[in-house]
Amino acid sequence: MQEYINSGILETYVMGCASEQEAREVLSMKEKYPEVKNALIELENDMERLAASMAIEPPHNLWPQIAHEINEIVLREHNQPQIYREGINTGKEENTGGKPQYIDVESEATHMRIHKVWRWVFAAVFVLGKIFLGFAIYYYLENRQMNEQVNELKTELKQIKSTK
Amino acid sequence: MNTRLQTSAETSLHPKVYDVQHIYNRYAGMLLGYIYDVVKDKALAEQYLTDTFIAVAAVPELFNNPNDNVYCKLQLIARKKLTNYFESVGNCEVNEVVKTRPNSFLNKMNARQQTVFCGVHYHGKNISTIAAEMNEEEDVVRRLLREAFVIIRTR
Repeated sequence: MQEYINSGILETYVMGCASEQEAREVLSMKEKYPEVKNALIELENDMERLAASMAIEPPHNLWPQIAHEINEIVLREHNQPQIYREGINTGKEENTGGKPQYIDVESEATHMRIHKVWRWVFAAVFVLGKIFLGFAIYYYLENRQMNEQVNELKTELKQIKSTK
Repeated sequence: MNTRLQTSAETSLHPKVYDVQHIYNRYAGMLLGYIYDVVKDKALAEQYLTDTFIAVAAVPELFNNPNDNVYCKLQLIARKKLTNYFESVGNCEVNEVVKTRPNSFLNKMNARQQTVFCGVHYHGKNISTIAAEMNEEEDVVRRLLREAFVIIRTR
């Protein structure tokens, strides 16, 4: 056991540079052997002694900054919306007897959303409507003019007949 | 109107901050000293210290066991935060560490012990990397690290 303690593996563990396998091994030995546990405690105390001798007083304004950031993070966690999960947020989704679950939606809005392609369809319908309207007016006027001409011709024919 | 909400928020927030403050008051100076010896920049060291204590607030259960050494756990969290810094730093220059701030423990170590201890402690290297750099077996490096700890203990 002393050989294991003297191998330097405990020092690597305490300093955080042991591999995962080494760390597992050290923890297992720590549980089994009190000598290993005591050696680890001593090494941790050594690290603390070294750190205490090299300590630097932090500036006075540093803690308020840290406390503020922690507060903000905790507040953010508190204010996060709850994630929706079926059967957790409401009890209605349960016991549907294996049928597909649908959400009943009754539209109350006065507006509707349609696909953008309908914009071109509406434009084409509008343009075609204008063209047909143009033709209709043109043929209506032409028809009226022809009727007037026919009437004039009829009047002339009547006049010719009456003079004969 | 929001009195009840505010009260519940305060009661759930403050214990966490107070717990961290308790740890901060006791260990912040030691940790800042360690981080400063690693980065050698006051502002950067304070930023890493801030990041470390914010991380502590996220895992308060890590500090619940009274048998565990709190400082060593804090140092491990700080080392995790420093990982990118360690990777960006080149070779370990022992003289630089000693020159910046006199360290009575390091001064008592011989050159090989200093190389191993500084490599692990201040430069985040693992044993295999140091062994390769020193062209030595890993067992030898571990033994040198142990000798360094003996010096710290007997100093």
